[in-house]
Amino acid sequence: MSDEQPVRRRAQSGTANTDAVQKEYQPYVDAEWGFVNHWYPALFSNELGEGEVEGIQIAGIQIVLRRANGKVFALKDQCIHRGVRLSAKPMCFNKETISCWYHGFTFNLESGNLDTIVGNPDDPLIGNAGLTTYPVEEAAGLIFVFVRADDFPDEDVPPLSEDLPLRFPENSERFPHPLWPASPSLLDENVMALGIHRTGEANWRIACENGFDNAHILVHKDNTIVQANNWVLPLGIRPASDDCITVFDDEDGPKGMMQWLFTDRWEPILENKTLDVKVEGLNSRLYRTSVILPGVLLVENWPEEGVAQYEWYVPITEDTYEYWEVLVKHCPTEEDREQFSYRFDTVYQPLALRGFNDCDLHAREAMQDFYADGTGWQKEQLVETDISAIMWRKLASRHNRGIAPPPPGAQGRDKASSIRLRNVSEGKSPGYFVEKIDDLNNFNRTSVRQRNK
Amino acid sequence: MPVITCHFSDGASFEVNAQTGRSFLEVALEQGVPIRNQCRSGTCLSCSCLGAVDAPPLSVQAGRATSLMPMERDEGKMLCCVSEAISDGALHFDYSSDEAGPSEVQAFVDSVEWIASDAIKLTVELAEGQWLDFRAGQYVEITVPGSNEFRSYSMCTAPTELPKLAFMIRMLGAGLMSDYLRESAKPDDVLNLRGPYGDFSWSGSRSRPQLFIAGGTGLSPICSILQEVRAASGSKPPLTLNLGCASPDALLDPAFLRNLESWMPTLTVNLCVESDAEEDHCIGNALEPIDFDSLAGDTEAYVCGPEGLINAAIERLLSAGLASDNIYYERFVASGAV
Repeated sequence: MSDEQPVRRRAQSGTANTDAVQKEYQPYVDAEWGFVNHWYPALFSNELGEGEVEGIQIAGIQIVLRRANGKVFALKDQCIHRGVRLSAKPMCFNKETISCWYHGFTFNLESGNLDTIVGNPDDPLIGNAGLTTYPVEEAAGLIFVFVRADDFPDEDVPPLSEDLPLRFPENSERFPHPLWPASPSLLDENVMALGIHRTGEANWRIACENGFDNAHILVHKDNTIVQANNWVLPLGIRPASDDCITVFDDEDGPKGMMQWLFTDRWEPILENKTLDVKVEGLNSRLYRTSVILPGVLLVENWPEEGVAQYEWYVPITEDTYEYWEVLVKHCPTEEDREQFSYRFDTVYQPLALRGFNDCDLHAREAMQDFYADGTGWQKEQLVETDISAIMWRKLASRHNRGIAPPPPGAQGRDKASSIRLRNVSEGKSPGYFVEKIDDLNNFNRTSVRQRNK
Repeated sequence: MPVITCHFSDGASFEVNAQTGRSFLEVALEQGVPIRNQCRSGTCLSCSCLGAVDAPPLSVQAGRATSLMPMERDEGKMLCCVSEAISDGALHFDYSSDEAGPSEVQAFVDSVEWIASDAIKLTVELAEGQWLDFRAGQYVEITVPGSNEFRSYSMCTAPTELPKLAFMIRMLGAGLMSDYLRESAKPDDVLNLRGPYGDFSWSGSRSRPQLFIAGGTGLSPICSILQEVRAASGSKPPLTLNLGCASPDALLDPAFLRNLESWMPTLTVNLCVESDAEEDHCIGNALEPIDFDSLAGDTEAYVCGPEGLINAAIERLLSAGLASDNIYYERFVASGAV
């Protein structure tokens, strides 16, 4: 023990640990960096051609993906040697491995093992070290990665279907939907999925809770898709019955909750007398939302008949998330596919995924500062329509497979790193993809040059 | 073959029957000598040690190199990984052979909070620059401020919560630590801690049913272990926690235990009281809810609490067919009771 006077540790940056009582959903509050040991979408299949390499970050874990002989492999994107991201300057000598471009540490795509070191093939480390691998599944044009802790056992990796929304018509009896046909699933045959993904600047939980918040319908009243279709939305929707939400948590199935919208369990609000506002001739599109772990939204019967919208709010850092919006439809014929694709380009993408959901991005960003230092979870003043969020938080606290720790050595951990500041000064926002080195012969950093003149 | 003795800072020594032509590190590790190592290629210095300069027991293998400086070589510093044994001798390692061995640290009091009619939870934070690793289930000795006496308490927090530590402490009518905690303890008080000690810890099994039996503040190490199980990667075994206390108001932080139950789908919590049982309580001690006749044979049991509870638990678990190897226990002795 030191004879010197002991000193208190300086306050930790990041989440303020307020003195308030522990929440019943404390694990959710702790999951700033997201949940690990779950399946997340990583890329659209067409974003990773044969032989290509891409680098992304999910829940603070940097991941490199490579497609070889058609199959996609995912490894930790942090060389064991000096932590360099393999994806920054892809180097592959064959179809079985990926090498670090700095010292040539070469990893087996399948096992993650250090197979050799380009310039040091007899090093004793070879065969005795490696990178974490991440199981990969491709479905309907999406590449899913099982983002796991380094010690999560292979035999415990659940099937992708456990982290995807309920399927129909299998669940039509349990969750009847008399007003629309069975929603398509990503795992169905002949299904086509079209969508976009982009980075949002908010914590993933803020984004996710926005997705199934029934009371925020007000924010959408001026959206083009609403006006163009002459939809008349209620002012709000309030829970009108104790069975307005059903939790489903079958042992080998997805864990989530279904909101019985457009039934008598939820009451649309048509008038506010205080403000003298009244909605007449209600003509809303009929839809229903359900959310499952690790934060996947299904909007049934949206934005048009036969189409379902899937959303993911994939944590990148604790203040950025990759927002996935994917529309799914059964398209058995080539003609169906062409039509869906045309309508996606001309209507769904501009009016629904962008126009309609862009205002959700505004709303999530508007909440971010309040929650960023952790105090918002204590200070928020909840109302009856927030039961959806609170049930989700409890469900997520119970059924998550692991809470992502603040990641060592990941992009975005240090908010004021010099590289991050330089990128921002050059107009590049922190994002989802690795920043690739285009030209090793040219370290073109104008701002650095100018300052050093 | 040379015989080399490895000495560690805690006084422990190990004899290695070395083999010429092979990495000394490899041979020593095979024989169970806890030499730190990482790169195994002569670079990272983890496996460095000191040997006699005039008759060095190790010599760098042909074709290998080390990152040692000339002056370090002159002092007799060697790297085990790329060296082979050439003669009998001794090597000295400047760290303990028991990495998890006890250390002495200082910690600041964060809070003292009543969690039952006769128990408090003491939360502390290790001082800047000080650290104490432990395994969930272990305990430390805390010196009672203003005296030379110490008391032993098991952490109720998980190692992942370091530098914070918390303890569930039973309050006695009179007692050195009880009096301190009740009367004068306040935030920012400095406490001296020594540890960790104890072998009470989670087996790590993810398939066998885990049965936790706690009497009173015997819950403390079990809470720590449950947090460790919660944070572990992969599937979880069936878990049962039985907490036994005298009366409902003596139950330790039942709200937290109910939360834990809702956060861990495989956990069942049974709260047991001797008297004044309320709706969701079992009547009797922490063994009451157990159906010994149908206890799965591969169950692992963890018992912590007063002597009487432990003895009764061991006896009944053994007669129910549990292997003694699968029964872990930690005896709580009320020290300083008057």
